[in-house]
Amino acid sequence: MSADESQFRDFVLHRWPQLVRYAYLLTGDATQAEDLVQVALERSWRHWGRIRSDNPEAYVRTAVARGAISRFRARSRRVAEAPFDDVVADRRSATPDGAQARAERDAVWRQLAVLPPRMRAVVVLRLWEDLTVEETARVLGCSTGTVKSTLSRATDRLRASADLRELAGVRAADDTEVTR
Amino acid sequence: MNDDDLRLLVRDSLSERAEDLPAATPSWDRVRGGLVGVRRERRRRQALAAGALALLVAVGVVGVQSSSLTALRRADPANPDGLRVAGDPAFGRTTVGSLGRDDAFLAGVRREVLARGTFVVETLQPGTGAGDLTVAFAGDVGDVRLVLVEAPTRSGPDGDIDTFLWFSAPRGASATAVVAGEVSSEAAGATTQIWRPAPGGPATAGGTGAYVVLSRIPGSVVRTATGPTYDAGGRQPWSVRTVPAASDHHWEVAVPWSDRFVSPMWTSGPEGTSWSALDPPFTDGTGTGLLDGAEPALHSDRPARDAAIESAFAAAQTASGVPVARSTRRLLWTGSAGVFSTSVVAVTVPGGAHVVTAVREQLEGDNVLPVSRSTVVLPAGPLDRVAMAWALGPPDEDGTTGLAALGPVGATTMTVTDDRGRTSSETLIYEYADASVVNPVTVEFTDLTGATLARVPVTALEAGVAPPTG
Repeated sequence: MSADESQFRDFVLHRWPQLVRYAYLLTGDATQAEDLVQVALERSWRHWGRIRSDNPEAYVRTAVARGAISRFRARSRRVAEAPFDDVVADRRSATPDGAQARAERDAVWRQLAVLPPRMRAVVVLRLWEDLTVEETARVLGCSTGTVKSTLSRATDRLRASADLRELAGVRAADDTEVTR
Repeated sequence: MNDDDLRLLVRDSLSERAEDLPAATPSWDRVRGGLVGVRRERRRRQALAAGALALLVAVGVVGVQSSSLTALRRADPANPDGLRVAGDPAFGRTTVGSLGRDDAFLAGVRREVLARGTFVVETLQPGTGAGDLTVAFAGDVGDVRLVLVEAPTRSGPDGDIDTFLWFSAPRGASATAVVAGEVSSEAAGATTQIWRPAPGGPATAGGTGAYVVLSRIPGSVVRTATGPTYDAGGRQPWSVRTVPAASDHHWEVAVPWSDRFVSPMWTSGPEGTSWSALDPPFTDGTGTGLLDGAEPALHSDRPARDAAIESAFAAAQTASGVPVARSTRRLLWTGSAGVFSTSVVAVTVPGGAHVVTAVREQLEGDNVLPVSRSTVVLPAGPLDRVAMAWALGPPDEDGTTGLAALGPVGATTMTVTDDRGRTSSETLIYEYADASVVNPVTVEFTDLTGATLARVPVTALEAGVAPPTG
């Protein structure tokens, strides 16, 4: 094994879980996540000699993020997306006592799933990766203004979701009950 | 809920999902094999034979109770609401498919699998016996004999795992020939398996291919959409039908290559059902490439020869669903500004309609990273009359949007109308211009005399192929 391959191997084995989780949050699909990471790693390996001394992780993450929002998927193209209507259950009846927070997190996850890929990517990069607006813009290849406006629209959409509004109503009612 | 609360909730939700995902580091051999697999898959896609998009298959899941992907991936076949016990076969111990009761054939498959031992990058665990192999599917579909085996395989120092092995051979092949034939492997763990047709594969030799789905997710649905890609008017007359289940957990469809198709990628998450498709065939088996014989840009005479243009052609070809040999391509416009490159290409399908795709990409060394893409389908007509206006990115906070437009040959000015009826004009160069406009709605192209040549709506960012309907 060459020194380059050894270094690349260490990088991959060390960073694999984080990269797959990152891709999973960007896509919402574990299989696509692994595909994205594989493709990004293959691309990285082709240019390893150039990027190894710079910041290979940033390079791979950029490739993963761009891949997630692009239509040039590694294995498939998604022609259209349809909401998953039938999975919606009565959250209150499905929620055991004390599981309100979990239900809210589930509701957020479902709403994230139906955001457009670019909007979802901005949410993940800004709120989970903790990238700055400038860093997010660099990763996604857009302006800082676009990042700000996209995040603003994403939070508006999340806030407007019926599930979250309903859960917020349940919480408010519970809080009122406790207060009494 | 205020902004801070919401963002905290989003962060918690994402963290929880990330932590739930079993993303154990695979062995280096496995990763390296995966990299090989990526290349193999790409070659396989490129080898897809020529034909028009005619069959689109969608696999949908409805009624899934759990919202946890992890739980779905571990669902017990015998008890979908519970957790799968490690080592249990993903699809139970009963073989489905037309050969499911052919005990002699199934025994032969097990015997040959044990004798072969190594498949792609997978090796059976030492001590594996016939009883450790589960033949989940065996049958003839179309002109293909398919066998799906779940087998315990080695995964290097990080532990052992189960692997699905798909074997394919011509219909009627013996167990020996099947196991000696084409094989593809995939890590077990998910509760779905899909065999996607490969029209160029030796198992089909141009006959009728097979599409097979096994799923243990409750309420799974398989639908197909067939039809020509686009007629002369740019419409897609899809015919959608639900595939009847062949058993309580499998579906199979014979795919006539004369109809052509794009097959789906399974998405097993509870978030939604989607229509999706493999890349269309880019070659016709004769080595015809996307840029082979490509003429210079219609609007600027710039040559059609770099990676960004090829990428744009690939996007349009994908959107058209028509292979290279049955369509024509033309670079309409291309240009670069800084590290960004924009190309507009047209793929004309047999019906005469034009699939026009505008791609913006960022050049980074030898790499081409996609930035945005928009596609419109225009009715049959001369290519020099094509007009398109598209958003280059999402709008800023005040609605300011990067807008690009390509007008018909002879257009010299574009006039943009916004959502409040206000207008602004830009001079076109080679019939192209881009600008920043607040909430643009339509673009009108005029020539030197002021005559209107075309008026088009602004295409949304990343507009793509319309979903099948019906």
